[in-house]
Amino acid sequence: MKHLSSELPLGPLQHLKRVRPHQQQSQRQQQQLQLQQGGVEVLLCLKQGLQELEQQQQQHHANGPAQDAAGATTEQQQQQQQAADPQALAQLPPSTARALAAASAQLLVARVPLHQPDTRQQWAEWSQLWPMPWRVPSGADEQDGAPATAAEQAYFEQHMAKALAASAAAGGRNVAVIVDPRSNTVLAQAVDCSSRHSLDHAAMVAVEVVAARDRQLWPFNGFAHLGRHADAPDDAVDVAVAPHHHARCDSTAGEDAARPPKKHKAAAAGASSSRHQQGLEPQQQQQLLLQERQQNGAPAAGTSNGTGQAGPAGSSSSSSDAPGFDWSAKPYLCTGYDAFLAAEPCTMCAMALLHSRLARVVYCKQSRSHGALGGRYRLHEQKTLNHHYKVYHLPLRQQQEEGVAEQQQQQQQQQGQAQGQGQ
Amino acid sequence: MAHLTSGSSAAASTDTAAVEHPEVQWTAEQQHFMQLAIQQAKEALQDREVPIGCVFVRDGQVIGSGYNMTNHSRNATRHAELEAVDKMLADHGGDASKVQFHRCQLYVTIEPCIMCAGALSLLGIGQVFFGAGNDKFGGCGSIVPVHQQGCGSCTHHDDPQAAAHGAGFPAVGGLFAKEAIQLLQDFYIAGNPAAPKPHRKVMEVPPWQQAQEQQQRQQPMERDA
Repeated sequence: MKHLSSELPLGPLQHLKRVRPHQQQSQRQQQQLQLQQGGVEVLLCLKQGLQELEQQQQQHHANGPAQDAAGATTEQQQQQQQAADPQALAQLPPSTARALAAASAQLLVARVPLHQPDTRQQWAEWSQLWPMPWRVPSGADEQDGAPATAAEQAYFEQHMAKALAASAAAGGRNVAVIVDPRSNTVLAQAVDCSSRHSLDHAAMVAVEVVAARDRQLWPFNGFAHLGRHADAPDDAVDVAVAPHHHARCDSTAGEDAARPPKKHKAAAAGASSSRHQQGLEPQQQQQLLLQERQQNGAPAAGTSNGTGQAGPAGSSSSSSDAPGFDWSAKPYLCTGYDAFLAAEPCTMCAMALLHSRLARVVYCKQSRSHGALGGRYRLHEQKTLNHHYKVYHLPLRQQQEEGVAEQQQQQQQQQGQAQGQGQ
Repeated sequence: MAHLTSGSSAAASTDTAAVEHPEVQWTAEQQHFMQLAIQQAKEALQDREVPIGCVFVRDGQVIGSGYNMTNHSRNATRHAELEAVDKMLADHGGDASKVQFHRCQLYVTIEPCIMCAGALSLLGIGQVFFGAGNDKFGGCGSIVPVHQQGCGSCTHHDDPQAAAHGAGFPAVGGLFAKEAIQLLQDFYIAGNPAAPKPHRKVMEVPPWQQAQEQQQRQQPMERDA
């Protein structure tokens, strides 16, 4: 499969799955491209050749995407069974042709959808021609990686609704929500504060909220803490204790975080060198560190379980305990998190989210004049940057739009009353 | 702003920049301020932060300075420029118009990244001088020319188009680029303690501290045996 994607990239057909089960025997074989048994059909290339397709596609774009709905167009596809049209084979890269011949595969032509579907309905219809993963339409041409599913769509909508509601409540100011998708926990929800501080755009504030949380849950503890001996087992102990321990003594953690960093440095340097002098092994140093932390931490440490095994996790610390994730349990910036924004981020915010290593950025209202993720610029397509998140443009559906307006009205009406209504 | 006092410790190695960029004639004043920025970067090195520093200058006076603080803050956006901006805003009651960024020059050891260039555009900075280019995130031409295209604002959901688009700003690089890069090399040789998967072994005591510690230690115990 790797070979195929380098020899015969799908190019404009990236939205299609490469392999489908043989149509007659619909039971799903393992989707391998081991060209041995019949049972799978593998997409090879376009019948007319790519250049023609590009022209064709341009025409389609010119005609507007609406016309494409019925007119899924014809491309070539191949099925393995027996040798086939020698002319067609000759056009394939020799190594591929050889592999096909060896597997006595049969070439045939299939119709496939030319474009990525814009709606779920289109997806359902077009997928009958050729299977495609469902992806939330984003306007982004290149979306690689895991396909978006219906569940993902629901997840997006759930949190976007939050962002939009908060934005409506804040008089239309932009709102950023950062979510840990593993536990579906909201880690930060921030409203634009640029009237107070010119650079406190919603995304900037949200990123800082997450950082503040990290500092509190895993207080800066000098160099030994910063050092991630990711594979060392003793690190796991260190991590297991920290969240519980510190979640219970917020004030301590807070003080710790608020202290000027230079003090930390001095203390840490002193501590580490003294440990050095005692000739302790790294493991012992870790334990020593732990003890120190427990002693210095807070009075609450007495009741806190030293091993960190038992006891309910603090409400916000639970997210980091999610299993099945292999970075050492301390989060690194916003790695793996998703950001939801009511309005498309500007260049500064888009880059801030990129620096923070978010996994996905979902925004609702596009900005043709300022947007950095599709509206005006496409920062996420800069290949040279060291991190890439996926971008989704999730425009309002009509009923949502009405819902938001209604909510806004309600809130205005209820301003005098004691409680606002939830939804 | 305690770091700013030692003013003229700098202006020594004047010719480096001129050699690297013979087309740019750096004034003594520019060299002086960039040396102050380098001093900031050295502070960062001592803190085991990525050594990038900057100063903001208005009317020939330093009104703000900062260095990268991403490790301590656990916030990847705490770059030198934004650290300095925060201090300056705090000094001016949070009012950016009182800072008068359009009258300010920024001296920063490494080309402002795309985010910082956006921030500088939003603030309306007058002029940027930087040391070395930044071929990973450079926002003043290396990767994205934010210094030309400016940065809009995403402050409102209702009408994202409404806000004014921040203007571009003049940016010139090459002033003490070698020194700036040398600091980064020093830092990465010792290993970045905050990297999620360090590329190299992180030294517990970086080279630039070893000398100091050896003096302090006064050999109380021998570890070799």
